[in-house]
This record gives sequence, structure tokens and C-alpha cells, in this order.
Amino acid sequence: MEKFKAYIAIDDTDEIGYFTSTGEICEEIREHVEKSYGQTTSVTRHQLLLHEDIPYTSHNSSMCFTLHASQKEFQELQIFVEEYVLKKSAPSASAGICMGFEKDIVDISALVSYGLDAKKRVLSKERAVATAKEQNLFLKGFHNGGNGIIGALAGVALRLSGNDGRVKGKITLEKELVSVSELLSLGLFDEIRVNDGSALNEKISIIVKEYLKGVCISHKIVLMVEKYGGFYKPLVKENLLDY
Amino acid sequence: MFDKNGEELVFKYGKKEYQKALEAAALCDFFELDKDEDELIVSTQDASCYNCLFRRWSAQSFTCMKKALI
Repeated sequence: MEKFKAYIAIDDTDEIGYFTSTGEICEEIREHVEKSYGQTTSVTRHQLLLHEDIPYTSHNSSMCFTLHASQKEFQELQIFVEEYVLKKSAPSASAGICMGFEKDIVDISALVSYGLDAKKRVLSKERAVATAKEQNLFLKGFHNGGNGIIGALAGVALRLSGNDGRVKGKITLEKELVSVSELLSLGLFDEIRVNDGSALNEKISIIVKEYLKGVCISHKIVLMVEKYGGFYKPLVKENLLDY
Repeated sequence: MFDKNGEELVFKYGKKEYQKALEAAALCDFFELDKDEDELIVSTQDASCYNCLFRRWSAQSFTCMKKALI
């Protein structure tokens, strides 16, 4: 049974003060997919426009991950994701899901443009529906108008761009000092980059006092570090808000 | 710490006044840490409005939704 790369994104599933978040719900879906259908990639968080005309809950971010599935598995998954999002969404949420195979997308650059627009402009549901149809993506909204389709489609588009988003979750290590080669050998990151653009000196160790968090750059999961005395240290928290 | 904009209370100091966000949370009875660890943008050692479950980010700052609800 041939398997193809597919994307799943969700948005707008929570409400202010809700016990869970869109990121957590997406992670639960990813865990189910990984357990039932095979390897997935990490969930990424994609920041969309913050604007008074957009009825987001608190962050206006969309969540996406990728997997490999057959056509039949994908149909099963579609039903699962719909039911799961419906069950887990907050009563006042306006959830949306977007799913599809990369092979079926007609014009990747047009789809990526939609995603980039969602970071700069207020988009309409009509545009989201039309774009999803043009690009052969499944798009569905639930409850309260289903405005989440706008962000869910943007989640797929931005993940597809390979240059947007932070990886959900924080990686901790057992030791504080780690070499560049040691860290890369763990397979958690494709690359380590210095935030000022300077070349990474592999002889310099990285001090990990808190955690490691990846960002998506050039279709790679990259750990951003900064110079810290005679060492490097990973960028965390407020230093990663631009990704 | 907050400006009233209609029914909303908007944090006066924007998104990068970390000390003011700590001071505002210290004065607040409703602070609750965001349930999603990924949305915590500053240290959790002390309560900060920037990490609160009830903040709603805007282009320039955030609105306190808890105070808006009471």
C-alpha cells in the first residue's frame, strides 16, 4: 500500500480560560496517528496576524504536523480528526481543520502565499474555502461559524513553506554542557545556527540551562543559539517569538 | 497598569516591558499560568501577565480578558 506525505492542521479550538489548547489537541491527534499509522513529524506552531478584526482566543496561532498515509488510512484519519476536534473543542470555539496530501496540491507557491498573507492581512472564510478547493485540500469548520478554517489552511500553507513556525514542546537534556556534534547526533535538530549569522564554531560547547526548542528554517528543524561568554546557549522564550 | 478601551483593559506597556508585567501580575488576584507550556514566553519563576491564561495578545500589547469578564 503506497503511502504519501500528508498534512494535518487545526485552529481555533479553545476559549479564554479553557483547560486545554489547540496545541495540546493537535499533539494528541499526532500521538494517535503515530501510534496507529506510523511515524509523524513534530507539531509546529505558526503565528498568524494579531488584529482586532480577527476573533482569535489569545494567540492566533495554528498547529500543523505531517505524516505518511495511504489513501485508505487518510480517509479513516479524516473521520478521526473531525470527531476528535469536535469532542475536544471549547463550547465557544470556532474550530477548523485542514488536511491533505502534498502530492495533490496543485500550486504550492499560491498556497504558501495564502499562508504568508494570513500573517499580514485579515483573510475571509470565502478565500480560505476557495483556496482549499483549488489546492485539493480538505477544509472543515465546526461550531460558531467555523472561522478556524482560515488559520487551519494557513497552518498547512506555512508548514509547507518550510520557513515558518516553532516546534511544539521543549527538549531537556540530562547534562548542562553539550558539544555541537553531540547535540546533532541526537537527531533532534537538522542544524544549529548562531543568531547573529556568524559561522558555528563546532569546538565551542553549548550550555543548556533550560531547554532546547527548534524552529523551522529552509525545511529544516534548526536550533538557534547565541554567544554566551566562551560558550553558546540556546535561544528560548522571548528570544524565539519572531519564529 | 491598564488602559480602559470600552469594556477591555489593555496593558499600557506593550509586549516587552517584562518588569511591568511582573508587577501587574503581583497586584492581580486572578493570575493563572497558561495551561499550554508552549505559550509561556517568560520565566515561570514569578507570575507575569505575559504568561497568564487570561491574556489576549494584540498587535501592540495584550488585553486582560479576566478583568474584562468581571
